[in-house]
Amino acid sequence: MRKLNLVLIALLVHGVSIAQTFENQISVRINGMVCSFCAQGISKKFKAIESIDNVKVDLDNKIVKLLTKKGKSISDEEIKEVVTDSGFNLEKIERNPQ
Amino acid sequence: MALYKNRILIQVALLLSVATTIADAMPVAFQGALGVMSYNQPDFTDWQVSYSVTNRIGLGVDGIRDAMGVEQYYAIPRANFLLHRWNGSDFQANVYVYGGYGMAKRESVVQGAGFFGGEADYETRRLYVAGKASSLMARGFEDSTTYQLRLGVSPYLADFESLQSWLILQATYYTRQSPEQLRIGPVLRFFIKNILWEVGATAKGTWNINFMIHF
Repeated sequence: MRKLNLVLIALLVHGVSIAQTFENQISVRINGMVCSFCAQGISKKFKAIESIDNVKVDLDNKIVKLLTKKGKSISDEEIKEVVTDSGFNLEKIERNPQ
Repeated sequence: MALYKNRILIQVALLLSVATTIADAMPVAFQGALGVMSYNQPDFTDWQVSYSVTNRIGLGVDGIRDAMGVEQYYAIPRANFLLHRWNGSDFQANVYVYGGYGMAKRESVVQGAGFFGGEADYETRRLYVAGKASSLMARGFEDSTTYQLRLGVSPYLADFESLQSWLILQATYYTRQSPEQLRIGPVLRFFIKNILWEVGATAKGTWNINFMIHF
């Protein structure tokens, strides 16, 4: 019984940590992002935002993946502004993608 | 036969005169970007520093040495405008215009000098087509006008953090009289992160080395 309780607690903690990880992931689909040299600006601008912990640019899938810091967030409007200022068009924002 | 040849020449001249495709210089980058660019050949050197005030407007300054004939030097503050951009899912296309007014020097003579031009481009992750036309003018000096076309292919796709390479065929025509007014040859382009550099040469051995960094 004790072992079962320990397993259940471990699963619960693991589940919570996974939920926290996915809670902070944002996937931004962008049009016009065909050149890594030109896309440096979008990475730089997102990284300069205080609430952003990590930025990953995926040219193959035309996506910028954002990871926000724990307890922090970024609005759709902020995301759109960064994309536009970087010279691209925003197609879609997906929060906590599967 | 003569009429046919003249028609072909006129068509080629028109093509060259309106050839403004693809930015080789990225006159306007992302908002807040500071760019340093340098274009170098044995008889022509151009250094540019520019700042992108917005994602559509850039301000900068050009320092040029044109040694195709009697050496002419230019220092031109300039403004660059992104007229229009098309952002597709698999491509980007741009049209830029730019212009400025500064100073020119030829031997001991110093004059005011004007500069204007335009360029446009179409790019996917594999294909790159570009062209531009630009002109430097000062009273009493030879006009220094350039037309350029570029066609490039990328032999492989690199991810965002890796070295990207391009093989480009470039044709440039200079109106100033020089032993090689029309220069055609391959250019190898490389870039990684925020640094881009190119090396090329014509069949007559005229080299060109260019680079661009943006911060």
